[in-house]
Amino acid sequence: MSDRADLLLISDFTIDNFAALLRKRSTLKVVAAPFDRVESVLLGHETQAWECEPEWAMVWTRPERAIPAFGRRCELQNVDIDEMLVEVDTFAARILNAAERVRAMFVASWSAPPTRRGLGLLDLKPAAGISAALHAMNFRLASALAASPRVYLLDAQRWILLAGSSAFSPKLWYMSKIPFALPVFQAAADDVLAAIAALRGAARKLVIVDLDDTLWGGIVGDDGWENLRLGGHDPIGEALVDFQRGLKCLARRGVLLGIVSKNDEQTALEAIRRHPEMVLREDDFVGWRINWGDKAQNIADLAAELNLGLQSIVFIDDHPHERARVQQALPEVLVPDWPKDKMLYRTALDALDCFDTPALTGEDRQRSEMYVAERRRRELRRTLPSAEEWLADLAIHVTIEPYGPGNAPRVTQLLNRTNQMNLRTRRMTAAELAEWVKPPRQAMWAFRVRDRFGDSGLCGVLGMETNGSRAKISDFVLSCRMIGRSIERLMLKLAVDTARKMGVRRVEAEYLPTAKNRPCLEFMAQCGFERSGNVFWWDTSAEYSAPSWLTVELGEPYGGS
Amino acid sequence: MTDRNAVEKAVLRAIATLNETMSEGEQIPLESAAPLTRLDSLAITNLLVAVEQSVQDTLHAEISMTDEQTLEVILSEERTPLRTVGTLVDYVSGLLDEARS
Repeated sequence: MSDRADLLLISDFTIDNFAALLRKRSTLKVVAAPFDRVESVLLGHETQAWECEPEWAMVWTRPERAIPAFGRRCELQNVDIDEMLVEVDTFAARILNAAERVRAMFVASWSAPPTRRGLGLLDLKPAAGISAALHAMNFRLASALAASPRVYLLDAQRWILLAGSSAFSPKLWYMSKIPFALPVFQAAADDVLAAIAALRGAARKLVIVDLDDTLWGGIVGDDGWENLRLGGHDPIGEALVDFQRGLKCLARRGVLLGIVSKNDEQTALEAIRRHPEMVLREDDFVGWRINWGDKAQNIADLAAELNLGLQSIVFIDDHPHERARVQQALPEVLVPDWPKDKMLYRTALDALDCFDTPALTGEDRQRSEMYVAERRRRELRRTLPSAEEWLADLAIHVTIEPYGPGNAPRVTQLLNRTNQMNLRTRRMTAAELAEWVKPPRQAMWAFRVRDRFGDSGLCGVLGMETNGSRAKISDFVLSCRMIGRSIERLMLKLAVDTARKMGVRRVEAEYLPTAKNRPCLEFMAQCGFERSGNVFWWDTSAEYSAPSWLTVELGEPYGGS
Repeated sequence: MTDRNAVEKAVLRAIATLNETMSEGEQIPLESAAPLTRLDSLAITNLLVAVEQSVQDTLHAEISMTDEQTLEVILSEERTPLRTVGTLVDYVSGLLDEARS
């Protein structure tokens, strides 16, 4: 529908400047709901506001307007904090109700002008303080919205801090009912666009760093690892340790780390292994290219080795010429401007908004370990004569479990983040997926994989819907790390076996091409299914076999994550 | 006398800020002859507040574009300085001269 909006803004102030900024920085079609009608829009009384069928919505209100009891406390009337919290609960319930209309709803937390001193010394006393009430209200709002997979509370106070002392504009407020100066809206637009990118599965997955004067101070080949600036009683050394800690935090969020550096490999690895102040060690990096070759080529090689697209990569290098070269050769790679001053490295890293994800799963926290195990598998592959022997030697064990609350976050993440081995690239929020699996004719399974090198976690998703004599594969998604381990064949076998048990004669898999899912087409073309154009099918009267080297187990219906 | 070049820089900085909120086709060119006659009321408010802020940031001077008397001039058909960027620069220079006299 051509009139459909991407983002509906619901606000109790003039939101036009914010809408204009969002339009300017993206291709989003942004629509503003009627001014200062938040309650009736959320309750659905303003039906015309929802006629644009927005994909996303954002609610941004002023606390004194949204929570009248707080407004009275701002005027120093005697208002109990519990009265405000009851109103917060009502407000949250309306948001949760309205969120059913969209894929996801963003809510700006409440903020106050930093110039407002309230009761000064007493302002954080819960009995009367304005700041105390604001903190309590935001905490209550966050708690009330936390359980919804559709609603995300955004930290507006950060936007205020970024904008500085002139964040609130009394003149714009009195003249046009705009409370904030433009820098607040700019910071908010950055966060909202990052949130939408995250929900669309566009988060970056791999940070590749240079070594000399990036991960440590100095040139390891000239100075020796003992003389590198790292840690110690030295502001630059401390700053670089802090930068490494920042990278380690990213790894704990599920972002992979790699190295591309012009150096002698053994010299550089010795520094990583032996320098006592290194926060990051060899096993924190999923791969590296340390040689004297072209960095752009090395980045492309590393991406291919890890089965990651270039659009998943961020490259950090202190040298402007190297950054320019990579940016020019590989435009899909994000190459942020990098400060000359090493004491600003951590700040620059923390400011990157390309790693946001809508959920943090157990697999995210263990992703680096999984990729390191992957490196060891590749090393084993080089010692064995055939792929079959290698796969048998890995002792792969697969657990198949139905979709359920225990695996829903990771299943949703795989559906939204996987590009290459993805038959139909169907993107869904957790809420949409929970709805989709409700009818009995639609089902979804998750595939957990482990082998003698470790647990790779939940790696595959199969969705299927039956219609009369046909079963259609709606989702066929496998983490790029698992491509080529025959898990793909096991997934098809499950589809065929399930269809046969249900008396369905034919299983169909329609390939929907994207710019990135050609590996899926290549697999489907040689998997044994019959083919007609982009539709592949199997007659269930015949067995479909999976390789004998896979050990398969059926897991609990609602297996833990 | 106020340095007109410095005032022009401050005004152009404010217009660049205003352009942040305008689509490609609506943006005001950063040149003296660029017309300011098609601004809607919200854009005028944004521009006036941005000019005040820019003058304060770059010239360390305080002017008011939004008090009743100044607004009356700005919004009048005959006397408005919102004809071109150049006429706005002249007007802001006059306000600065007044403030310093």
